[in-house]
Amino acid sequence: MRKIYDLTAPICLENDEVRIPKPKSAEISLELIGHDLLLSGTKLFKYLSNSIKFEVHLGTHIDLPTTFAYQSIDPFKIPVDFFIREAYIVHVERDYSKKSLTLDEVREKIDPKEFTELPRERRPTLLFKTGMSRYWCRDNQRYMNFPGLSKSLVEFIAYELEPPFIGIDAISIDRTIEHRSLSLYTNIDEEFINILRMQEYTALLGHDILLRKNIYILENLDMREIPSDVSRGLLIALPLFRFTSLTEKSVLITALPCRVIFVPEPEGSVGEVVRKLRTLEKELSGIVV
Amino acid sequence: MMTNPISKRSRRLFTHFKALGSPIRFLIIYKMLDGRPYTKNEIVDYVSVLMGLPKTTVDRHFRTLLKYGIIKIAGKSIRDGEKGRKPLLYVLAVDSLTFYVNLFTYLLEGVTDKRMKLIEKNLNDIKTLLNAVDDIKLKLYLVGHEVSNEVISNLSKTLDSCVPVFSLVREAVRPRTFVADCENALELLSKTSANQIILKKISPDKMRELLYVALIESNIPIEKLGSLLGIKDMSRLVGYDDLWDVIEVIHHNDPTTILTLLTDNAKCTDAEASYVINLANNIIKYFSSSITHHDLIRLILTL
Repeated sequence: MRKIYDLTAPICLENDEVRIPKPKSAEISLELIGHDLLLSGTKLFKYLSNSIKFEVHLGTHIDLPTTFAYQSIDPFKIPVDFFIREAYIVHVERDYSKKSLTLDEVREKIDPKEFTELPRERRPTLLFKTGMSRYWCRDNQRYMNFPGLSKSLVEFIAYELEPPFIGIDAISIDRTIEHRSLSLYTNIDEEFINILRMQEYTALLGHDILLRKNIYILENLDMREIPSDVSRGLLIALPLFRFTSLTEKSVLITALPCRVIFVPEPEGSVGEVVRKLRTLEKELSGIVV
Repeated sequence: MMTNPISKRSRRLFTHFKALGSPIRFLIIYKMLDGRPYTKNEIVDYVSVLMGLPKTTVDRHFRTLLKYGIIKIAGKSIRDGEKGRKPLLYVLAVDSLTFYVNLFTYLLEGVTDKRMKLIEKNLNDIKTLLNAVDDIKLKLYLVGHEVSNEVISNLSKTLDSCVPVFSLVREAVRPRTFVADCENALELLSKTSANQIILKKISPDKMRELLYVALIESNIPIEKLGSLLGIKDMSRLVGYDDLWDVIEVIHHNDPTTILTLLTDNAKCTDAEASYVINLANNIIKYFSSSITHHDLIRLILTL
């Protein structure tokens, strides 16, 4: 039986409190709820449940174009097979305390033909393993301190590769305010950092570039267990919720929290056949598209 | 409302068999779809009578289906107690992955065996194959280790033989590789000039446009193009319109003559090489954007 990897970042609990990396303004809470009190004055209930309240942009989730009010695709109508596709993993683990991930670092690791020779709806997704997920829940401040992807890299993805979505094991593809405040203004008091934090979402240029092109962004993956020699596989990133509208009025859903699993490409003769099928897929696509 | 007795999946499979151009195999499966076990003789009798074919012919198709696991020995016939065959749906339920991989192999082999006639008839079948690729790939990812080595080996061999064929068709329909040197450009122009199917697609106006665009792109003097096209009196050539007027008179706008002259006269010097390369690539672009798939496939089959 082959190894299947769970790339979903866990919701970490400390007693009743949720402790995951997040902006201070974002809320997440978990409560235990008792139903049908059996005896007044006690905490005896017929059955127990939980209530979880969170912003959909927390934890492992896919950012949708609606985040910036681009509504080119109705998220209610995304077919389920959109979320099941082959993935390429780019290993770019290093120290990210200072420098953002640049195009030069990944150019040699990505073959554009693997994307451009397929119609866009058939293209694989591109996952970046930065190594940041080792800080998830262990050092949330450090996890939040991520310098992002350089503009040239984001533009390379948006205009040359055009995958349906990309994924990353970090808080964002853009430089976070925590990174800016901690790296540039280490001696400034917290109040000033909070003032800066108010501007947090005005600088999401990478998001803007990708989402305008309908390239979704899968953030906060947990890729710790993915070995360095695994670079291809099947990604299944299923949204936790399925929304549908009962009225004409559209509802803005800006992100889809996901459960993500990854199946590495088979080895041996089966893997060889998968690679041949991939070649056949390119040739057939070239004929019909 | 009457419900359709044939499931959606079965109808899709029927399409596969129809696409293979074998009504005999189609009919065998259709007969067996009711879920009852049949003997081989029952099936052969039924189909041969219905289609007016020799039993040996039907028997051959029956054995093909058996070879690929599309039908299997699965029980006794109600009629005479011989070994019977159960239909497609039964096989699917027992070992769907092996069956599906076998069917896929069978379809691909059908494609190569028939020298692309399948595609020539109906490009929609390519879409069906593309869907099958998706299905097989997904299944191999998830449960590929459960497929026998023999089945994987057969699929691998089939892919080895059919991918180059599809590659050829794809290159004709959507060329990825353009001509890069003078020799290849001349070869393409030569083959084009010798192929009536393709020449019929180049109208005199289009020929005029193609020659003109290559002239602009390669920036060669008009006199040079004139000499390539066998025009001796250059004194009247001021602009391209003048050149075309002469071509109309002496070559009657005939693409065959024009392309033959070009391939005969071009010497692959820098300027001439640039012209023929540009012309060849513009012809490729024109073919890929304006000629039907059907024409292109016929073309590459004749090259």
